[in-house]
Amino acid sequence: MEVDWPDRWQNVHHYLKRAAPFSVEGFQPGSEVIEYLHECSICIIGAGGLGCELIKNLAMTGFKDIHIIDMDTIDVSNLNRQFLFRQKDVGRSKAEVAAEFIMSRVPGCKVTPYFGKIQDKDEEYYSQFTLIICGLDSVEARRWMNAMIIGMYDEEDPSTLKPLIDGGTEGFKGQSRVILPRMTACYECSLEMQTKPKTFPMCTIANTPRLPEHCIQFASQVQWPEEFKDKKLDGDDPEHIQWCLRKAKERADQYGIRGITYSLTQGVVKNIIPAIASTNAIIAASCANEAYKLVTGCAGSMQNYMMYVGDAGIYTYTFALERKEECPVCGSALLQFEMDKNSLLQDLIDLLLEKNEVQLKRPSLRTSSKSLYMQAPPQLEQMTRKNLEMKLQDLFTSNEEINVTDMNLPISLRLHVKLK
Amino acid sequence: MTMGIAWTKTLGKCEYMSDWCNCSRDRNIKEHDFTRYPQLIKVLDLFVLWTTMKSQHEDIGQLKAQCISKSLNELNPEVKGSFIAKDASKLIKTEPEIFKQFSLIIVSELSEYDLLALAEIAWNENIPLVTVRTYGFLGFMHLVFPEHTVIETHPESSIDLRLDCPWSELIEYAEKFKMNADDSMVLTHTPFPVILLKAAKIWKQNHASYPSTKDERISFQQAIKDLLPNVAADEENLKEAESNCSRLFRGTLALKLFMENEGKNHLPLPGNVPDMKADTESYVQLQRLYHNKAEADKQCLKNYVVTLCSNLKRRMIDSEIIDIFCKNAAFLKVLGTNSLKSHFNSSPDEQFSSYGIMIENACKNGDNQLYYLVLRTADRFKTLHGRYPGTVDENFESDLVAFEALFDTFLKEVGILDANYHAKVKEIVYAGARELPSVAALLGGIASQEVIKLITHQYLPVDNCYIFDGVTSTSTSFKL
Repeated sequence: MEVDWPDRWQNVHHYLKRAAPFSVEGFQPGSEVIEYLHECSICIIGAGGLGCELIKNLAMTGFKDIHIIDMDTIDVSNLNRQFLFRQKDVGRSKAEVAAEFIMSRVPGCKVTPYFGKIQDKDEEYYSQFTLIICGLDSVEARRWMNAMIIGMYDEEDPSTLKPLIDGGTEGFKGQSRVILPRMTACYECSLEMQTKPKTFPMCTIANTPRLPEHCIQFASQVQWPEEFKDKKLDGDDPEHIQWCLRKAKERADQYGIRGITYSLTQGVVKNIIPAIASTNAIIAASCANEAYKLVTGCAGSMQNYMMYVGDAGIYTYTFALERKEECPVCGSALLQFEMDKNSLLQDLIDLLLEKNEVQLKRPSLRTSSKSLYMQAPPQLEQMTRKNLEMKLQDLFTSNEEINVTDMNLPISLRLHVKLK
Repeated sequence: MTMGIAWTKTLGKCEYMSDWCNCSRDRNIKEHDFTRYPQLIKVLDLFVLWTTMKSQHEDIGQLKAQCISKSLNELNPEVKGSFIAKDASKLIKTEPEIFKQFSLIIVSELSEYDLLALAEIAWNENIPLVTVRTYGFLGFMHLVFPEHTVIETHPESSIDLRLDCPWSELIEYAEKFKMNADDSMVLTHTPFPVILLKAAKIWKQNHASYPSTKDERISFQQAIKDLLPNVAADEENLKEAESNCSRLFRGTLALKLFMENEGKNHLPLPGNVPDMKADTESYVQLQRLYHNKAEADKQCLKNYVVTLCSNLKRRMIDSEIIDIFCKNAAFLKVLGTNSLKSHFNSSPDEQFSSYGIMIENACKNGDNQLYYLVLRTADRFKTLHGRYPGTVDENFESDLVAFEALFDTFLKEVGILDANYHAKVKEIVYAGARELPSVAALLGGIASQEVIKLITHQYLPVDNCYIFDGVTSTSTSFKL
């Protein structure tokens, strides 16, 4: 069956037929670039709100070899915006259903799903792609992917350069950006720009609360509508907040969670940011547009970060985010602290956890000669735990090089502590 | 003729209410409901995208309108899609009545004459018109409506603490805090409005008015510090007090003007209090204070409304709407745009004489607004030559010359002889009126976002034009 009927791709081929005023330098129009567009392999990470849009846009643009990775299954609450999924698909893998849908609608487009985690795959797997696009809602997964493509890049071998296009949305706000390893700022360079996430998946709230916020959302989103069917929860009404506070506390006690306060309750109740379908559409479209330009060269890439806000009018700001020299992933990361020599190792770890620019979760520390504190394996953790209560001067010398790793993050940091 | 008109008729329960201070809103649509209309995005997407969507190849040869209708229904079984398989141009001329039934009209591709005719129909019926188009890497959207009102604009912050004119309960509350106590626990738990109120009280003993100049503000900030000599400078509540200082004074000046003009009246208190460093008890007490005052204000307002409604023999307004109105009293918005006709100087044949300054600035800065004029020139070119520039390979070089000449003629009319625009003008010819799926999807998203804002009367729509440049991934909104 001939899948490419005449004029099928005339719109996307148009810019590839001749060099235009905004084509990149050295752009070679003609059949070669046209073939490359159809043959190159693209990886999409995430088959959710952004992922559904992305895969549709890429397939429509003429990309014919698309891989999509997602570890989640379809939930009823996804159906309102993740438009490749239907009621009958609930419970199935997002990546698999998205791939089937696109292949049934766009003849000649091959979509390979992977139902699992990005961490399951290695460098060899990711090196098969021309570029990678992330449509994720998780900071951790983005950090992992970012570190992967930067680790893969060998300046001596241009074929190891895998551009990363990243999109993200939160309510009416969003951003899209292009990351070229060691040429532009990487995800880790701009980690400080991240605001802490404030919304949580319903399944977490209902089944596995961990944080005080989870208990509060359970009280406000599940218990309140059950108890008061016709009354709307008013975030400014102290009686309402008190009620949620009491319920959240009960639930927190049940799960042994601490830290529920009045102000936290109010903050969580008033700060529910819904996923907005139009924001996803806009950000995913921008990412797909960058993919088309990057792969073909028919126009230059954005420089290199676009932020978008759509609640009052429409505002975008596109700017060149600068690389950070001391970036722990793409730069020569060296953290320098000055601490009292009688401070404890635990104090040093607390200080590390506070550092917003590195955002560590479970740091392990070692010098070239010994392990100071290791989070895993359990035997090692137990052996090094006693060090937490030891004085720094008894563990290492001033400015001795300490290597900091985090089991959840693919980064490693150099740390110098000046003891005084 | 490309089928390029979409109309939305029943998007949820959109009842129109104009009997409340000229503000209309849909009571049934709340913030979260913004997620309820994803189908709209897909419709727009499908419209602009249809040439590539032919890849659903069993549809080739079918009516576009019919296929879209079908896809839409599949996307959301609750949507009723209907279609009219007629030439839009003829329809506008022969059956203009057909358009009057819609709450909103979206146009994605019409000639300039047809667009103008349709815009007139919509304008006279008070129907918002959204024109949206893509052209190569460019996207353009224009909203046209006589009036649009929004109560819930959802500003980032709607906090009004009324510290410039505290009511008696608030003064009493503040008096209870003893600032000179050595107990640092008490000091760190003093809410910042209390600190500000105390500083203001001392200030007023020596000054006739609140500080308004920068110097006065600095000395006021010093007064706050003097108030708490024993407290370390990094106390969070103290910092909050200092940073809230400037916002307070801006509010004071605005409120003062309002008071002088509106007869010693204030806006109803919104009643919300920001998060601040304080112990739960004093915080909740303070919060309750503001809440009660807001309730009282609201009750006053409700009484007025009752009298007004009965005097004017109008239907009583829902109490819930008054609640929302009070919370948003400082942020009500009435928007309106010029008619499309006014931009065409009553006939598309007349050129851009009214855009003198805009053209001059756009040319000087080479910014995205220039694309608006270039797109208008492309439409002109089409009217003159029966096709867009750069669409026929054989004529490419001659189109390039002809198009630049046409654009130059327009510029000369407004007296601009030299400008940094050539790459952008050329780009239009290279684009050859093609539709890129990615740019179409982006504009589809943008336009549906604005359509939902218009339909739900929530948030602020763009006022009133938007241009996206997919080459640089930059965008500009501007008023026509």
